[in-house]
Amino acid sequence: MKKDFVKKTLKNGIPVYLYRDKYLKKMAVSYNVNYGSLGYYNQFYYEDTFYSMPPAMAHFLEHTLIETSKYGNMLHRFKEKNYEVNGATYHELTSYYFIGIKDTWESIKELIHMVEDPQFSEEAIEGVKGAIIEEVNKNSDDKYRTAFNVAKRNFYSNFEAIDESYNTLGTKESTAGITLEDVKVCYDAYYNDKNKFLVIGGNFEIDEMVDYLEEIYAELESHPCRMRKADYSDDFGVRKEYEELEKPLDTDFAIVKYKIRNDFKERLLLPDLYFFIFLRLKFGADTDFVTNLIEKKVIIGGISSSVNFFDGIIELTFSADVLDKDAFLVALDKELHIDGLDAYRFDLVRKAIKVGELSKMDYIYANIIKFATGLDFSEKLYSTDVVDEITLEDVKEFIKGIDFKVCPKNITYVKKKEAD
Amino acid sequence: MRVKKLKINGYDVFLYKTKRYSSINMKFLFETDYSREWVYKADLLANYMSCSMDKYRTRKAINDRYMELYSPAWSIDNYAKGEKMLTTASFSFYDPELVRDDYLEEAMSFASEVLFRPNFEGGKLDEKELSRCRDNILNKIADDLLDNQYKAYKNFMETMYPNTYITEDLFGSKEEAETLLHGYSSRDLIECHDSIFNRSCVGLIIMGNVKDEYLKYIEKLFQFKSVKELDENYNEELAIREELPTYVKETDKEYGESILRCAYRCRAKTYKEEMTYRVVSQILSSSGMLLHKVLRDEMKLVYSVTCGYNRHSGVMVLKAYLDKKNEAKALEGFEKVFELLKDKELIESELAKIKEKNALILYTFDENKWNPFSDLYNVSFNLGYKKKKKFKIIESVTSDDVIERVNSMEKIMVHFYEGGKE
Repeated sequence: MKKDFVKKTLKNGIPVYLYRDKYLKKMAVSYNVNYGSLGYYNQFYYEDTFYSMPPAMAHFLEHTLIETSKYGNMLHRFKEKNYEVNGATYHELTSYYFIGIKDTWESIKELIHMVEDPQFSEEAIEGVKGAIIEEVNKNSDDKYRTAFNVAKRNFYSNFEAIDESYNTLGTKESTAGITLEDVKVCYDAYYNDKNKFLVIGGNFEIDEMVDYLEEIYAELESHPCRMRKADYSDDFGVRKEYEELEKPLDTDFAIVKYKIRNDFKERLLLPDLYFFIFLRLKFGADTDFVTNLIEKKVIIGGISSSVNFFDGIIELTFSADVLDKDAFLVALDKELHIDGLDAYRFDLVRKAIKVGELSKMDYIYANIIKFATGLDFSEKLYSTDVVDEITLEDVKEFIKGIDFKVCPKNITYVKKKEAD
Repeated sequence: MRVKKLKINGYDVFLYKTKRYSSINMKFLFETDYSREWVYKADLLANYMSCSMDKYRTRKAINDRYMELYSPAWSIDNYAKGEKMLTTASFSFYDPELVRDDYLEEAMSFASEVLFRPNFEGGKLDEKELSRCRDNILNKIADDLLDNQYKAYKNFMETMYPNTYITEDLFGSKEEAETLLHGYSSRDLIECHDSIFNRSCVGLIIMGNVKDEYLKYIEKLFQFKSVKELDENYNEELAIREELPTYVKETDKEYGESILRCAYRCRAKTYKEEMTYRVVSQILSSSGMLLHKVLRDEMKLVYSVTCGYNRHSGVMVLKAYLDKKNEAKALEGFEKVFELLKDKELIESELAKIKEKNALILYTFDENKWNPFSDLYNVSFNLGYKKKKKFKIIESVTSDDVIERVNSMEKIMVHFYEGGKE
């Protein structure tokens, strides 16, 4: 039987996902908070007081905690031990991780202390702003990132998913204006014990690790949950159906998003797999659909697609380099149905997914770290059993249940900027 | 790592048997002469080979077969090595014991189809597929030409290394690339295929749970019209421009961010000196993060700052992303970092860390399959040293060696790609 994660819950309510393998020489550890750069998190109630915060506070906190910990800059500290180390803020998650060999048990303690016992001060806050402002500038130059941010912002009407600057990190001004009070209240609100989890992989005894973690937390103050989410409306529409921008590109680029209610009372892994199979069979580079669009000079290259699940909404995204935007949009709408879902190809794609699971053992440390980002879908590393359960009929039923004709949709069209 | 050397069909095969990984990995090496015209021809051909085969005419048919065979990973890559172009054809098959299917002969047969039998029916390539491949390459080139990071890199490289193999494949415009790629006829591409994949095989490396019968499949399925020895007498040295400007500035109004590069001449007469410069580079960037500590943490000037060393030209480049107003301060920051590099105690501490890191890498070497595979490739074809040997040389490097190398570094050019967007 393949090794896999075991879930334990500590006395303070923090879940720990443990992957034990006596053959692993390194330890891979991540400490994660369900709080990210999406604007959804900017508004909240803390102790019944309403707060509306500047954009990218999760990212700001990530920098602050790492760079101004009681041990100094944790990046440097862990680099001294020759670790691979980083912090990352995604749309819905912040993750702090290291992979190393030397003194790892002590480092687990330091990582937890870094997150649990912040050293906020005016000086610390001002100190991290410089590098973040440079990062803001860098992101603003990224034309594709900006385009996807536009699309994301326009997708949600009931909250500002992305700042109006179309930069996930906000602006130079919004960053410069962040105060100590902002940092403290966001930390207190989101870094509560119900909102965090640990992931640890390596060679250790499960019970011994759990006991050790309990000892660490016993020395620290708890962080009870005193926040509740903002009362966003349940408006299901999009903020803007169409937006154009100009960027220095050689070929126009289009992003199309479909908004679907997630009424499926199932583990997210199943709808995620259904979509993966559907999209692969209908929009893969080898499909007649894509080949025809290329031959008719409607698109170049192929069509990228992705699915995101958040707060009861499924966000289905397509993008492509387009030569004929209108033809692309019409063709896309027409292809969103279950016709042509071939049983033989379904079996092949399912086989490909199962086989892809095997390679996880070759990249085990990376997969232990990546595990945190997939926790909404599965609390296991391997999904082979789930994949085995799926039938083509399941996929068809699932897709049939979505009326794409009435799905709110938004289109972002990036036109190539003509040279001066 | 115990490597067995065999001869199959006249070419060398370097075999490393191990059950450690999920897959059996193979890589063929081919060698031809390098030129811009040739490398783009080979790239277009490689693209075509992955989507139109004699036996499987459509992408769908290829992918169906690919998925039937447990999705073997494969790629054909062309790269310059001095005056030579090296082409690698890599295939990765899941271990039959792991998938419980004795399918490897079929999988290797598929690989053989990829390599030897692209769709050249009637002496012509499938024009629709060729057009698609060409458009994909051109699209990428065109996109790069409009990207600020690429533009900065291109400008720097063309200033530094004009008319060398490293800049030969850089296009000035999309039109230039179109002219070249559209200029290849079916016959050109078929001859290119014959030249590389039938007549220029240097050998094969293979790593994994390899049974003796798999070698028989190789013998049956991978036969070349002729094979060759790798030409080891090629020139890989990269000449720097004779009258190099000491300062270059380019302004780009499309972008807000600026990119600063500072180049230093680092002449290495021996392999140990070369390794010592690599140590300097590590102290500045990956391991010691001196650049990061000074320019980012202390001076708060940058988001990202790195260092790279090119042994073929003997040049080390410090690169920073920053606001244009911080150019002068960043240059001061670089000077400050170099002052720190004269601190013997600091160097000793950093050197100890690097040596420890190397020891840890060796300790966990096999945990990443690409480590032994990369060693197998480099050593079998004499393209480089094993990591262990490199680390052994670094082990002998002292702080005095590092300081001596730092003192011999000479700043030769500052290149500032200024973001002019308001």
